[in-house]
Amino acid sequence: MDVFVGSLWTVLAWPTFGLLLLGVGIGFVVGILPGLGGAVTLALMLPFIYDMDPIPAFAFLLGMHAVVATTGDITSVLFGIPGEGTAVATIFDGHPMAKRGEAGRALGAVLFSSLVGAIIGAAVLALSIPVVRPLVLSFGPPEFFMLAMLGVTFVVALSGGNLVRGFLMALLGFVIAMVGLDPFTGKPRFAFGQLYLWDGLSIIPVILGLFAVPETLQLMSTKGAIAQGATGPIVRVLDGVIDTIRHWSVTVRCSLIGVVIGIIPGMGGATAQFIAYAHAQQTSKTPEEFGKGSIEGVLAAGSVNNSKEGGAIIPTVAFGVPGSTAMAILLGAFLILGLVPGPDMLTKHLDVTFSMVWIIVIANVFAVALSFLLLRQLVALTFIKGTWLVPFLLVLMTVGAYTTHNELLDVVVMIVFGLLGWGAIRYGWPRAPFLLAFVLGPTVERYLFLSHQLYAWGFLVRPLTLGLIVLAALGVVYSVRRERADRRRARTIGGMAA
Amino acid sequence: MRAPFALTRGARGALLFSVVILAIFAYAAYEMNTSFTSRARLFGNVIVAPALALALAQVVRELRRAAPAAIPVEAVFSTAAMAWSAAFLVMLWLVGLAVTVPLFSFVYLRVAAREAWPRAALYGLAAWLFIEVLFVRLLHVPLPVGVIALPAILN
Repeated sequence: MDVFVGSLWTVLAWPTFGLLLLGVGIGFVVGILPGLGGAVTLALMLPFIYDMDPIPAFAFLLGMHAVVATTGDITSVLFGIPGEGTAVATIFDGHPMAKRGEAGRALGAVLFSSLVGAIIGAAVLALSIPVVRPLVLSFGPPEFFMLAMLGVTFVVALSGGNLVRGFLMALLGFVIAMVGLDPFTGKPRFAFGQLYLWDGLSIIPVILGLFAVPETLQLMSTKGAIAQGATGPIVRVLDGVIDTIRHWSVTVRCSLIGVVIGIIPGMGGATAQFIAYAHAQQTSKTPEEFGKGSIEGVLAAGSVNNSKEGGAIIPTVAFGVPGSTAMAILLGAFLILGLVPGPDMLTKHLDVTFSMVWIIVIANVFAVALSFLLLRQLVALTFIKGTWLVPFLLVLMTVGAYTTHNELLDVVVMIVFGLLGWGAIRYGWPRAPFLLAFVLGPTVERYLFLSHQLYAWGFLVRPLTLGLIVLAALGVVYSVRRERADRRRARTIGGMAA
Repeated sequence: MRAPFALTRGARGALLFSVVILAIFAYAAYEMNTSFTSRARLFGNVIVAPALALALAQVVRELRRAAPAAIPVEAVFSTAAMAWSAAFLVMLWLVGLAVTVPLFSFVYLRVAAREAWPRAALYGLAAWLFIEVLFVRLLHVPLPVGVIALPAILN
């Protein structure tokens, strides 16, 4: 309890609090701006944390990430265009409400339910620590190895797209993570005689290349701003807050759905919003209003958006298994800061873990309060042209990559992975499994080596390891069945069209 | 099975991408098994063995694909976007970041975005101030310098 309260004071201390506010400010703008995703911004900001202590660094990064979905909802309601991929379900009812002159009420509901969701997510994260700690401490190398493999399998199986390509991207991520000196013999591996590669490939140029380069190229290609016309009057915002309290049950239930889905690697926010939305519709007394401007639909989409973050942090911190692209980048931040996710985060660095709880809560309180105060000014941001962002993004990417070793080769690495990212998008190869495997690679290799040293291949038949293998297999079976069903549906639609 | 030369341009691209991935795994398998002891190549082989099988299956699948899959809208980059990016990188290599940023910002906004030249010039100046104040003065971050020797004030 002392650590929990103490971490609040640490977050509120200077300069941590200032960095938190800076992160919230950046997340605010990113959420609302066209073509700039939350994960990309996290990647762009990673180079800035090199000289920071862990808690200020997480105040900056997590503060930024925690509010991106909140402001992403604003454009979903007003223009029917999501600022973020996780704010799509908000369109279904938020935009019809805006069209019938209830934009203020919809915004009030979506923002306040986002805050409630964030608080519930953070509370579950705080409460889960005493439960998860004995479990984590009882795990050995075989269990950690299989957990990481389970995480990768789930991300492949659930992130959509072709299963074979997903696994190939994950395996490629592991191979690229092996570049550098072999940890056991000290011999250069896949280094092609280049001294630069002896240290391995740094996470920053790789992430920037995979995610920021294609997004910037797309922004350069489309050039557009998100908003094309004027919005109606934004009034009766408080009514939406009252709606959230009146329909507290749907807000709480959808928040909890968000937390649970956040914990499962690979499910992610894009899936969570639709599951919560479907649940709200199934349990509503007026399901026919969904899709036409139902306030319950808005609350479901708003609450699930932010609650999933608390859930997603649990496996990242406790087991070192991130469940999404953003969490994989956050795991990269752990490594940059010299922290090792797992038992240490629940014992030696418990203050850092608890500070994350407070960061999520405080960031969202500020984001929602500022959204209410600056709603009209935030809307004006959506008229910024994509072309105005391009030089700014190019600077951030170049400096971000270059500062890794202060070498132009870092920029070259970024370009190479930019090509990989472009090819992956173009030919339908998912990027998330690659990133996850690349980040987890060194840890997985260490755990495999230790497991093999301790038990030879017998580690695979330990009860818990076996259970995790079965879970991974179930994930694959589920994905194969879904892929077949999708193909059958596509054939049926194709046949009908013909 | 269709011959590769009968494939459309989009399908050839997808096939080439799969072949590159297969080649990476093939090289990894070769290096692992020619240069490392059995202990050191444990992880590598655990990864590379299934990777080779899957990559081969993927190449065969691409060869048998009747038509290329639709290209997602987020992967359609204009030639102009590619050319501007290349220009930025060439300028960065030649004259370094401190000169590239204001110059590129001005020219890009003036030509690609068709902004009025005073606005483009103001943006270029703001961009230079941004890197000078934030990266050089506040964060003391070393910026990339170009291969062309410029007066110290420009680096």
